[in-house]
Amino acid sequence: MRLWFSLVVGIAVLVAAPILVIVAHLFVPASEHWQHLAGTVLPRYVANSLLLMLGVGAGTLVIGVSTAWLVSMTNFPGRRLFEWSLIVPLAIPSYVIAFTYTGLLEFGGPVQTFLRDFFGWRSAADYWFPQIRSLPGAIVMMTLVFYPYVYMLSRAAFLEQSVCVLDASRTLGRGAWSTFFGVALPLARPAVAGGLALALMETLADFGTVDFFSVDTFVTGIYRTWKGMWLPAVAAQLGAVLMLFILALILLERWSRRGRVSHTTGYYRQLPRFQLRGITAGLASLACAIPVFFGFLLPVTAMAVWTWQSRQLIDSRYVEMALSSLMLATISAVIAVGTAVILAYGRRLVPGRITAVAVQTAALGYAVPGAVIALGIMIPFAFLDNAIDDFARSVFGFSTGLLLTGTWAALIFAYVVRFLAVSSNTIEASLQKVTPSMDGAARTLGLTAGQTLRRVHGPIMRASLLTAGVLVFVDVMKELPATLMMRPFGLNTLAIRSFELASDGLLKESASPSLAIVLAGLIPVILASLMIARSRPGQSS
Amino acid sequence: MSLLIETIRHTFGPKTVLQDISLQVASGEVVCLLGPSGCGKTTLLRLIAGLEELQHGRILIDDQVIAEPRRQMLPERRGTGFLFQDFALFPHLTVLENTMFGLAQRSSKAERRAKALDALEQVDMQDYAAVYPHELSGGQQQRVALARALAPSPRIMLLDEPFSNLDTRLRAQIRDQTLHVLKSTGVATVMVTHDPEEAMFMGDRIILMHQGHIVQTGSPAELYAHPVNAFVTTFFSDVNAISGTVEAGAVQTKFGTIKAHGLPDGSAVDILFRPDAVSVRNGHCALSSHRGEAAPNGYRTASESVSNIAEGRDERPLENLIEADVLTTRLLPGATLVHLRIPVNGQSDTPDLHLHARVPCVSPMPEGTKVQVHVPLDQIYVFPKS
Repeated sequence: MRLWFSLVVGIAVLVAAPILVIVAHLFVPASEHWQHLAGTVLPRYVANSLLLMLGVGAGTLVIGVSTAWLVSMTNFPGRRLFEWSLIVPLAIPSYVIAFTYTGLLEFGGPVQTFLRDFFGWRSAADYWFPQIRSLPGAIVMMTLVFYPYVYMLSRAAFLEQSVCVLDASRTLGRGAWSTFFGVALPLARPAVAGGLALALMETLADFGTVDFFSVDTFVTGIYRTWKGMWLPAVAAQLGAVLMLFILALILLERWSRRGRVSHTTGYYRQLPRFQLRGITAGLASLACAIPVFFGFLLPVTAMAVWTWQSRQLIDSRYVEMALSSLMLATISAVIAVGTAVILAYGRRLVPGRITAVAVQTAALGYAVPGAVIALGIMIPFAFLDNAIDDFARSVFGFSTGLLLTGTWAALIFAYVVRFLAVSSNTIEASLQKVTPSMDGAARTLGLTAGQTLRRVHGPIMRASLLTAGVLVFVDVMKELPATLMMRPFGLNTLAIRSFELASDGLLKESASPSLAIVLAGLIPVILASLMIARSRPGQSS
Repeated sequence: MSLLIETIRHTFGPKTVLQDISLQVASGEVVCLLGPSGCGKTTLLRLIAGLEELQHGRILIDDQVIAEPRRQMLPERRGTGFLFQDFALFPHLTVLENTMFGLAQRSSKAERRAKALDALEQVDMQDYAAVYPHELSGGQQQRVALARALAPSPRIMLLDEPFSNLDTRLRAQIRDQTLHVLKSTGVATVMVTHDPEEAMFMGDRIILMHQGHIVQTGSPAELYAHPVNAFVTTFFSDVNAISGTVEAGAVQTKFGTIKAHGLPDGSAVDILFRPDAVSVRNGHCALSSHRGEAAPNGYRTASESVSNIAEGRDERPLENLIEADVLTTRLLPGATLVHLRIPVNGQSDTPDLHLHARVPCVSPMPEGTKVQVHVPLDQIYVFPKS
């Protein structure tokens, strides 16, 4: 037991270390550089980040809650199709959709070209067209791919509500709309808030979109301060301020979990759906079709076309890049799943406050932007590298160079810190299938704790281990800022390639690596759609 | 194959769940830990199996110390068989694989297979060897779990509410079968239950627990007929309760004078007796299931009771017969419950006594029937007012 306890606590300390390094910078005295930063760009970072959160928050709430209500409580043509396809935009990383829409809407893109040809305009001076590469543009882009978080959690909450409560409201004389606002929405509020918190965490963490659109936020600020000005301490201080925002979101998410209502009645039956007809039905279909079309169909079609047009680019270098991505993602997924299993099982073996806190701490990374985690790892690693190098030089007379910084191991460590919660959540849920008495049965029948894990838990949890692995795999494939900051010399991944091509203005050319990431990203989205369809208690598939 | 537990104490945070528990189980004996939920009985079972860490005291199996604070044998080395409330069958293994699970890896696969099949045959489940647990009914799952726990020939068998997940009718049948299997293997058994009837059915001895303490230990008959306090009395059945006061070392009741052992004069007491201690006479016909005063264990055999009714008279004269009115009668399985009212003469401010009598099956008596009621004095218990 002591072994398991040490493992759990050890993992928690390791995973929390990079985050603590950053938070500790709150207490580092302000340098001259920081003073300068605080006086010039910091207000802009704060304002832009807040506006972004406000816009994306409002957008995802409206789209997420309304579509979730429509597909779970009403009936209209195409409802079953929308039920799962509304999740699909989640497969597209925000930076990819930003590149794609820029390619479509920029001056030389197909839309403006068509308009000019059609109306006979000659130059940009002849007409007004919205600038996609702007703060509002970034808000629209992120809303299009982050609203599924709100949609999924709201829908799950609507599906879980006991029909008795709704019936009671109806018999007490409330109408359909009054029931929605008076009963269903308040009951679902914590879940909605949870989805919103996730969407906002993604918004704060985003690097690719805002960097490409030149909207200065905390994350781009951290990246530039570190990479352009080489002021790691100042970058970390920026990160520390950003952590205050994130803390607020974590608290919101925690509150939403606690507040989730447990229904007092276990009576479920098919939810009574309001049958929509005529114009209302058409409007409902349209409301669901718009996010799916603009969030998935249109950008993916554009990417497919551009990939076809630039197919000569798909050469051996491209294959190498894809392999690097696959390998990084696979190794990280295996480590993240293994670590999550140790955490979940260890917590069961050694119940208590310390292990509970350790497991929660280890899951913090999901809220922290990749850029911040990268910084939290590179600062101590660089310090260690220098110390070892100095020591070797003075004692042995040769330089060891960089042992930790810029290695695959460091990068994979960053991925595991960032995405451990993704695998942990899946595995902890799945561990519930193995009842504690099964543990007891195996132990009293003569198996050690380790043997029990291998012979009982392993086989029972197999499918979930795979799911957890796939989820981490895809997140690593999409990850951009940490990869950019920490990549070993010469390493190229699909995400980096897509970002570099787009940054160089080669938007069509960036479509092929982007499309590969989206296709990989579809796997967990399909898994999630299947799960959500089966999630209603008392309703067979 | 015996179990010895010495002065176990256990706390969960600030809550003490077990306090100075000592007990002994001999080879071949079935001991039931009985008590309301939350009395610590399951914790005690888990401590014996090693699934919970011992904090204070000692546990010995066959005179070998298997647990004391800071020196605990791991659960997998203790050789205890555990039957869980939810059976805990491994869903990914067949019935046979489940049963083979605990058999030592060093013996050959054929040996293990044969041993597992033996165990399955004992519970009459050998035909289901290739089936997966989810295809079995609750009763079948319970039997497989029993076979799985018994297959490695454990030194001690531990059963945690093993029948509570079964429906009532099935429960009686599985209970009977389990008892026979346990008795035929001769393993020392500790069973946890909250159901007194189940404990009386299964146990050679019952240990009644309440709030982490052992309240009373003894044979089922001892606990039923000679409860040490009001808790024990009320735990085994619904009771008739009236209040009284001690005067000159005794309590006066309508049914006679009862000695109040050791209770000071003037102290308020509860007077308790079970519905099946009450006999009811309707004119020429005596309806009684009560236990003959002369019988050493406080019981009369069923045939004696039956003969009373069959002959339509009671052979012994009864003193202290009390007049009562029938309020209603309810036919129950194996008995009739008669609700009685005993008028309290002249005192209009005190309500009439309401009694329950549990008598052998009779046809219902109409409301208002005048009857005579008798309760033997040795079945009336007097305890300090709670």
